[in-house]
Amino acid sequence: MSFMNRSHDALKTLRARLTMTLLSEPVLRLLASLMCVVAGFMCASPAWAAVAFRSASSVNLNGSALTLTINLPAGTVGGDLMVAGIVVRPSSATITAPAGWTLQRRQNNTNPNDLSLAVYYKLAGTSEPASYAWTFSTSVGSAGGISSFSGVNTSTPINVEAGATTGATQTTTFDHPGISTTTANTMVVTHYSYSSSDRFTPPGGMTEAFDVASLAVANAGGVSIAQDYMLRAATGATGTLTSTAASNADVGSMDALALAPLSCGAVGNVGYAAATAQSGQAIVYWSSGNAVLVLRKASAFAGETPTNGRVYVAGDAIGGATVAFVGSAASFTQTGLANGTTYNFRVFPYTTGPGPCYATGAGSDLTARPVAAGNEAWSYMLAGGSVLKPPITGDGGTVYFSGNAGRMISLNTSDGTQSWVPPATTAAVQGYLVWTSFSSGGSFVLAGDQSGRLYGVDATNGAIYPVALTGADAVQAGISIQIRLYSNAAFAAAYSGAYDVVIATTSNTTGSFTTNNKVIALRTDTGAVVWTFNPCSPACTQNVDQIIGEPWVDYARNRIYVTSRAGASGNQQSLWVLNSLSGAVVTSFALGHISTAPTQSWDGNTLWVGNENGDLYAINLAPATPVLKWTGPLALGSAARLKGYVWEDWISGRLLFSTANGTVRCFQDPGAGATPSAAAVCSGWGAVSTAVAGATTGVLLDHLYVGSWNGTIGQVVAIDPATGVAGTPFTVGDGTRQVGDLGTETGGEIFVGTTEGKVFKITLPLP
Amino acid sequence: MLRAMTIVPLLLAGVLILESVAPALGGQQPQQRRESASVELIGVNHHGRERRAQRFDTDRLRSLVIQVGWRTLVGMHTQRLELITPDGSVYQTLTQPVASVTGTAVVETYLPVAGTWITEYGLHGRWTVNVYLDDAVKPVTSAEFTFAK
Repeated sequence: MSFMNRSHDALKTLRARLTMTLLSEPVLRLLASLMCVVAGFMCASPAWAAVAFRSASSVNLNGSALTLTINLPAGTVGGDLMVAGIVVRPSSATITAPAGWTLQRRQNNTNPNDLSLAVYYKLAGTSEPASYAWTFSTSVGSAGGISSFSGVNTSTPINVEAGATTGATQTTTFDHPGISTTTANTMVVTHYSYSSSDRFTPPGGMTEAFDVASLAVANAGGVSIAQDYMLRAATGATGTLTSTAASNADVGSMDALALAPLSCGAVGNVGYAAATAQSGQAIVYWSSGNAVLVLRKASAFAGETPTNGRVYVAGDAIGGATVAFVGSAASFTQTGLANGTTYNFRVFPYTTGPGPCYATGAGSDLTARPVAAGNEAWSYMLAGGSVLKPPITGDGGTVYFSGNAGRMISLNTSDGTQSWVPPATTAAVQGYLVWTSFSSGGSFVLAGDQSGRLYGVDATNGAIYPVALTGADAVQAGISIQIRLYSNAAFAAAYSGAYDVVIATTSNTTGSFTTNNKVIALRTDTGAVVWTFNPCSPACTQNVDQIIGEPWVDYARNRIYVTSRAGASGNQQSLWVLNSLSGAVVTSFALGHISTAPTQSWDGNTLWVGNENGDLYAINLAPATPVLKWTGPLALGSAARLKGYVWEDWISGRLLFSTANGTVRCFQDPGAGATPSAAAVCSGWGAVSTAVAGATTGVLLDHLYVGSWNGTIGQVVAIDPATGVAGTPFTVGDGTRQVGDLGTETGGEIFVGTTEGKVFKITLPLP
Repeated sequence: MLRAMTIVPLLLAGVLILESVAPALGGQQPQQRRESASVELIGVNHHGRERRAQRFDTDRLRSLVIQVGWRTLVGMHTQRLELITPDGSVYQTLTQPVASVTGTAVVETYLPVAGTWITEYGLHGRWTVNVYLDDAVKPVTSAEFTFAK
């Protein structure tokens, strides 16, 4: 394999680049816009719903009855346009239309054998009656029918329309002078009526929708009416539209109209979509400035989408999916779901006037799997990306988390419902969130994202406050904070005021990314930077590689312990002890690549940290300048590198941690100056470790709970910390997704996320 | 600006060509333009060196560059990448603007790997990247690659 060196120029520092062959982007965008305007080219092509004839219903042989009752055309659905043609003799008859119909034209022919043609239209709703009745003040003959058309512009359904008569001429040839359409892709609909009973032949190119008479044909008495239609792509004049009757020449009235097609521009998709699954039901959430249609399906979607122009109601079928909800809201609760079944949901915003015009539903795919009351209390999914760091607890009854979908989420822990609409970050958030009460008041959730921004979210209402960190193009680690309330006098002396100090770190991916990373301290009240470690301006003071583990704040000593990778050579310093009051380096260690977080012991005198080579180091924090505590690391081998961080058990110095080769390990700190042994077995344990496939970082409660993934099934395993014995694994959800780290709120439950972007609350004890 | 002006006649010529091949609507619902694109995957190691491949060792990988080459793209659009994990989950969705008047454009998207959940949770195996244009729900193209230890 060949390697290509690329220059580390300015372009390289751009996280995303557009490489164009000829032009810079601003000029390109200008010209692209020009092209769209000049050519009318479909840069953002509107979707034209083709007008289509659905069906017709008509009444023959109505004689001289004073009521003409016409059935709803078969298959008519909400959003269809119905066009009715009614003919009655005499022309002086009063015609009363059913409710909701709009008279487009009444074309009387008052010459001998007079008659009247009336043309109406109505936009079909979702619950139309089975029939419609027109009544007449008098009648010596009537006939009529209704046709339904889909894909019609619902705001301005009629493009052009014109009536005509034969005058006093009695004829079997009916020439309508035609209409001139002003928009493309219309549906031309004609009506021909005359004062005899016989059948019509439609104009050339047109299709007959209905053809009825008041008396049995052929008869010189009564009236007849025919309706015809044809699609017309072009605009302009149709020319004369001629229909002929079979016999019995007489006077007549005619009408021609063109139905305008529905044209839908792009409709924006939801800002976010999420779902909480509870026993027997699911709550679906979204954000959109428009009303939405929510589809539900008990299997994966297979292209089911709502049709532009069609109005749906809950319960309608679209392919194999079912319309679950239609309307303007920010959430809805789908009840009546089967526990243990995985339901797919997709949310389609839509516009009206004209419309409805539907969005594509992109970015809103959700699954919800209700389960009966049991250990799995609820699950919550945010569409768009994985969630592998667990929720963290905040003020009572609320947890917070984020993930690759780039939203900050707050849930009520009792039922998994959202506390507020999750605000957006610019990029993925992969570090632990931190909830804190600021010393100056207020509760906030802190996080950094992969765009290099720090966020504070007001825990009471979800208001988000971003801060772009100078010199950062990504933040991977969780945010740390030194709270004034718990800090000593030296902190108060260094930072006068009421604010706390937030510690953010970078994990840069561009530029000199193995040396230019930083630790940045900011005030919580203003977001102002109080110091930056390794500012790299004008030059880096240290070579600091990516910082991935969450820093640890040592309140007693006003220190911050920061781990990092060790540069391209692997020999750079990778454990940094910083003065939290100034950002100055107290000391540093070259311990190889470290991607885990440091952990301080309960007594405050030891710091444990594991590197990517499978070495666990202990640092003696007691001296003014910290030193290595053991004669060497606990060397487990690179396959067994520590994951996340270590838990110190209630037995002082007894450590529990997960390793990358699928074990949960126990190790007793042998003390200062000792040589750690990988073969040492904790008392009560039968071996140095317990096998747990794909073990994640656990949470130590009555047991050490860890996530597990063996490539097929995602589970949670409870391990007795006294013996190392693992209990029966508990399958998370349907078990098909890889699980992440675990967290808790009260100790009576655990929270775990998955690659699917779903978080589960599992109550303890496990069965 | 001068460069832009010299390109305008060529642009207009292109417009005429495009108009001549644009499908007539014919009273039917117009077909969505079917764009054509290809995907190249470039691994960036901890030394900043790059290598085109379909299989990458995550221990040696700093980031993955997903390079999408558009061949028939006209106008201003949004490219959306959907990264699918070996267990079939959407790991992350990444969007970028893309525009072209010549029909061709190349968009590079950086997916950080080192120190991310990919390495932390060992998301090893066969991945898929789906490439979408604008709000489409059907990908224009897809590519598979492997993250290995």
